[in-house]
Amino acid sequence: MEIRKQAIAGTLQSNDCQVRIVPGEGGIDLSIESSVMETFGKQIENTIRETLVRLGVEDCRILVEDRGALDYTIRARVETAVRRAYE
Amino acid sequence: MPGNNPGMLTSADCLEADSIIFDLEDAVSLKEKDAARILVREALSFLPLQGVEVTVRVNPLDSPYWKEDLESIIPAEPDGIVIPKASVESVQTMVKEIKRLEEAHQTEKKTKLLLIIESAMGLIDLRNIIESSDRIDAILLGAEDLSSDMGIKRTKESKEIEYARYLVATAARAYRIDALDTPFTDIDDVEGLEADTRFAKSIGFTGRLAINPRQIVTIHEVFSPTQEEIEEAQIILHEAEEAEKKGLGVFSYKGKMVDLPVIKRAEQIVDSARKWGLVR
Amino acid sequence: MRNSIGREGLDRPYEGPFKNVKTHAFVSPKKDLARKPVFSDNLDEVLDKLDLHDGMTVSFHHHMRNGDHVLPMVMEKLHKRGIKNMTVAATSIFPCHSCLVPMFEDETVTKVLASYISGPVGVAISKGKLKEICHMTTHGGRPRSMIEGEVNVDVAFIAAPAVDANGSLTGSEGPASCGVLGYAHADAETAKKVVAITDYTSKTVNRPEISGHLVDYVVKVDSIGDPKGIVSGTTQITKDPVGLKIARDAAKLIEHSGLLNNGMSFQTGAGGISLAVANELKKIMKEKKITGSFASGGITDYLVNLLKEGYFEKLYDVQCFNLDAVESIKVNENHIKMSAHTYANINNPDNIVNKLDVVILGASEIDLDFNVNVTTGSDGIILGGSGGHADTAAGAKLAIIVSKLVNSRISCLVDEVTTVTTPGETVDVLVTERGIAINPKHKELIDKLKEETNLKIMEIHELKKIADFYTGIPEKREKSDQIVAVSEYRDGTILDAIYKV
Repeated sequence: MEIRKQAIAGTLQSNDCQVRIVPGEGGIDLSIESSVMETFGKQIENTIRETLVRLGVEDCRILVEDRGALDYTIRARVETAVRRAYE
Repeated sequence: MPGNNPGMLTSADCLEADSIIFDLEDAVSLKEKDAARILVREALSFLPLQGVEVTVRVNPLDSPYWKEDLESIIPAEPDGIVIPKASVESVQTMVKEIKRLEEAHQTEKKTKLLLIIESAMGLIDLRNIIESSDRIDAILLGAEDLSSDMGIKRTKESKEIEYARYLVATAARAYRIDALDTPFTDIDDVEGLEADTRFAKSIGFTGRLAINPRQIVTIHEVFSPTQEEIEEAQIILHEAEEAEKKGLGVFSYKGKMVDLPVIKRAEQIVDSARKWGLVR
Repeated sequence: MRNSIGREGLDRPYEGPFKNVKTHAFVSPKKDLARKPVFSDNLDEVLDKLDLHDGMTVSFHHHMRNGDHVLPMVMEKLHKRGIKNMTVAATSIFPCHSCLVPMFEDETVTKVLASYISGPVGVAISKGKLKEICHMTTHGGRPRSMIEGEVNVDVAFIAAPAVDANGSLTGSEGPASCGVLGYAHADAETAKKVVAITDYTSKTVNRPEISGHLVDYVVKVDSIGDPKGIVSGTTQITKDPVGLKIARDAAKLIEHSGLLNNGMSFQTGAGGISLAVANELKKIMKEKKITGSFASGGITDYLVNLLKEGYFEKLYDVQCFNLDAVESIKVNENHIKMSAHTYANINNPDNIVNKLDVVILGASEIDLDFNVNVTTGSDGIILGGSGGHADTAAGAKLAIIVSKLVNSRISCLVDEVTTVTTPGETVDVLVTERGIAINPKHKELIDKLKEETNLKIMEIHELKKIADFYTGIPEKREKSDQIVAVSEYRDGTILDAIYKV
């Protein structure tokens, strides 16, 4: 899926994360800010990248602000943002 | 609970409910319909959600969302789909789509249906609606939308929905499915909830919708068999076993005839007592 | 050197919860009973008369909690006088005491002793700004250390809401009434000089608790504190349905433990879930017509109502957590004031915690050995402390920790706690929304509960697996080598070291 425009999904409430995505200039430019960065930063990054691969996204700039979302929520929010950016 | 709230979805199985409804309809704003259906899909695939029946309320037939809701959710194999504003048409259309998706995704589960009766037509067409599919497990009364459809005022005393309640409870019983009463909307009135739920139980409802987890304990207390009921049921079943050994079809207990219907009711009581942990 | 739970024990390693119990008699200070303090309204003049010197130890109590004016007032004056290398023995430190941070930096204060530290001071100590190692002890450990002469206070500054003509102090009267002065008794009895600081004097006062003969000076100032600050960071019953489920399960467990009988004694921490447990217990006590003997600890309006409604015969109060409790202690003879020594000193054989049947406590972390951390956050920063946690867990027959297992991707259950505040040997049960783990030494209780209830009793390792499933397995945080503080047990031995962040 191509990222054609800016999109946002999710919220900044506890247990959730907010994903902002815009078209990229080549490759995936990922920034993460998380309330559990030290303990789960790597895992959060893996989850985000895996989801982008599954959706066929190769170029984008994506910012994820996490407030302790479990992996399933991160997957869902990233996918929602990607779909919104594709329509 | 609102399908777009990850915190609530995760802890849904910690609330002591028998059945939970992940809602894609009224509790989700139009802007977030897409986010909710994706989140619920992921939640269903990941969360263990043990010991509880997991259902999803999709958007109604007259909305642009129901098809994508089903496409997203059915592959994740929920225990049930809750169809709002149930009608013969909505049930048949959605069942067709559900079956198609189950086939296409080779799902193991065949999802059940729970129908919300919340329109005047839904009430008077109840028999046809229940007969429109063999997957229907329960009917739920939605009094708020029903009174809106009727153009009448919804009150706490609930006299205006008496007919609807009797009809739903009776029809469900006729078809041997569950009947769930409409939610009691005053969350702070525990005594009112208890009294109103006792009435629902007395006319044949087998359960009730809770709109706040705080209501669950009271609803359970009302619908749980009492210690006396359990003991009496156990005695009846024991006597029934004895009678059968002696080759007797019916027998009397406490001056009343005990035949098959009475035995069946005793079995139900002991079963639900076991389910709620009231007997070991 | 390593202690008996495998943690750093420095030169006084912890050996077990009751391995170092001595009996010391109630201390009778050697001050003439006929003495009366000198009254003044000039704090500087009184300070001039004291032997203030570098390296001295000063003490304060925290009954005014986050509304305290006295510690900042006194420390600013001592700072101005250029005194250095002081030890501050405050029973607890709150955000309103942030004036201490610059005093760490210029070595006005080089050592801190406390049972609870929150706010900027905790952060500063964690970041290594304090020259000497900070000792975090328990509410019961503090009077012990003063009575045994391990801690020698040069001047005790006691915020006193009301003082009578004999210099006797009370907490239950005055514009800044805080209820009880339970933590200040040891200071009054053992310090070389005792200075009471008050904003209200009267010929007689309500229920005096510290005798005037122990006090050297009474200084009258404009205000000793803001009573609204007493209600800080504690005490409403949780409305969260998950918390309420945990509370119901905990109450059911207590019901089937065999301890829920007439004469039962009970204490709860100040957290929302702990109070909800008290509420659930009340329902069961009402149904079974059970009257408890006492409830104790930090007292909230909730417990006051239980007393008024006859669920308990007495309340033993070491600290009032809100203004209803303050009102009650003024007028209700069954609402009894107690000192920290009476409450929890391990070397006081008649202490209240030893008489407790059940205590409900919280945890920031708990590990597979049931060790509990309420001192540091998972980031290693000091933001709490035992208070009465370790004392009550050791004394009570049943110590129950109530906590959500997973919240915002943080699991309360970890492999090893960051800091041991309360050793697992004294912790009996962990109740979470996804399961209940019981200390394996309670085999009979485990069997009884499995037999009689539907509660999800499981091994603590199973519960951890569940937590790991939801959150994923966390990366371990790097710990530095530099010790900034120690977690000291009630008997003075060292449970664990706290490292620089």
